[in-house]
Amino acid sequence: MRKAVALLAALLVATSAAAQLPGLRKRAPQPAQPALSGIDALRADFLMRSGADTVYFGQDSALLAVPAKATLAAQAQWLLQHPEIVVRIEGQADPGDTRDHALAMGARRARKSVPTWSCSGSRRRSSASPLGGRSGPEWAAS
Amino acid sequence: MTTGRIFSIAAFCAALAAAPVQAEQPAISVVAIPPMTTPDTGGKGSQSLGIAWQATQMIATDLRSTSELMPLPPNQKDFYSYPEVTAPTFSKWRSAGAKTLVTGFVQSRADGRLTFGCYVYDVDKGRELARKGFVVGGDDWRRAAHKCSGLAYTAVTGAPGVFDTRITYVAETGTGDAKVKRVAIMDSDGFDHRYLTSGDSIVLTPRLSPKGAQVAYVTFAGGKPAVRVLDIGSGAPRPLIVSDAISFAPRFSPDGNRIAFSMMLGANSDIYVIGANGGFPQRLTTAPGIDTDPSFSPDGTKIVFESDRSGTPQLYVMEADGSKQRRLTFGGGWYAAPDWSPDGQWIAFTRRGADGRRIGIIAADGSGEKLLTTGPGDDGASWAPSSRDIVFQRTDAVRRNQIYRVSIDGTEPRKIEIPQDGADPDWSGVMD
Repeated sequence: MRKAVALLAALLVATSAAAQLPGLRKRAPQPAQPALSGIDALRADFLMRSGADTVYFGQDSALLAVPAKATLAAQAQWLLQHPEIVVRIEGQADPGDTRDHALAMGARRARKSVPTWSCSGSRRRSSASPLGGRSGPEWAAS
Repeated sequence: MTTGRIFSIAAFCAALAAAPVQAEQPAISVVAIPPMTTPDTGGKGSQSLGIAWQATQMIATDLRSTSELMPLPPNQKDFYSYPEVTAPTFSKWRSAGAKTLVTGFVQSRADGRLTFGCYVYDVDKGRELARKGFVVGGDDWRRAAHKCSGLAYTAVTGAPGVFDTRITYVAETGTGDAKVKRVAIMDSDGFDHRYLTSGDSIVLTPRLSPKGAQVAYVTFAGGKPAVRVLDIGSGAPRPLIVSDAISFAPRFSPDGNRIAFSMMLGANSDIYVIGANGGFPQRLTTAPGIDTDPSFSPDGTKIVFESDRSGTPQLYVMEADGSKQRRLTFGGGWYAAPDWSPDGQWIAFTRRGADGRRIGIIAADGSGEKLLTTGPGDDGASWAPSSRDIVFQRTDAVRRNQIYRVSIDGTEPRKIEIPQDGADPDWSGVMD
């Protein structure tokens, strides 16, 4: 429960929460043609090279464990190589959490997942916002 | 448009109002509500009688919704004359088993408005407990009926009635990512249901100002959550703060002049207070954890809130200036989403434990914790102005939300009928 794990394994841990990158989309206008074409191919490449589009937190915690940090670093590396891609970071809380605590926790988790990009040298502008309380994705950064 | 809201209720015989009498015992009191009468004659008379009959039935419905009063079903054959409003036949109601009697009249005025007179009697003692008159617009007779219900309820229980109040909540349609959320508002009996936001962005936690004229809520319209304050009359929303920081969990102070809320700077959520009409937010908490869900005491001098500074979410109380912060809950489990009762005695909360989320109350001094619901998906308690009922949201196994009402005496929660699913209910104070 206390470890950040890769996506497939993490899916088994139903109650722990995540910061995830569900929505990759191209930034317009389109720059030079990337090696991979199509957002689905890019998403698949992102998943393959960074290992996961989701990191998991322990219950009621916004602390990044070592594997989560490694995943975020790998994601940052991939994003550095694909500056045309805009990402959105969403922080989610535990399904059993109360409304406003979930909102704040989702925001914290997304926020904690953001600095990894800038620490890795990305100059991509970061911002963050939670979405929808515990019933939906909670934080986004792009 | 808010046609139902432009009216005036004038207490025309305030000087005659008798002091409320405290009930001697908490047992359910049987109330007789024979059909209200009218001094009007002719065509006006039958029109007034029609309204009087509808108002009578509404008063019975109002009182039936309480756990303290049990109305006898109104019966048209119990009709009485105008002079009998103030000289009822007590023996008749005594033999019917009633402890309390409500009489009244409806009189049409030359200006097209209506005068309502309401009288409450102790049947056993044969004496008047309370009387009050209201002048309302011709379309606002429902409000006058609610005021009569409140008069009877207060006369018997000593507590404010909840009939002329509003409930706001988030109306939900669709499921999952396609869920549409709109701020909705209705009278506490379900009438005059309206939507205040359009549903094009996610909204959360609407909170009514004490008199129900404004609603503060959280919207994701700008991409991140921010508190907006909406004037219900004009329908115009405005941001609570000028900063683009994340803000949420708003609650009005009892005088309606301030709003306490949470704001996030970085990953830290703290409690701030700001004038309800704007100004500069004043920071009240500085703990590095999540401080949220502030709720004022009824005298406005204290704030109860939730903080995870001890490691798990717990309830804390502080002075309204942020000083003297102290922990209130030590019962094990997590305590969240507090709401201070209007009479100051209780704090309602959500307790999260192994058995899920349940609604409970604890005395304002931290003693006498009592769980009112069995969960497992209950959250967001909000007090009725009577301080005897709590409205809350219940999430079912497929994560659909509904609104329930529970009495603090521990009776089974009752579902509140609304057109769609609903979450985050909030109950207003008694309106003027």
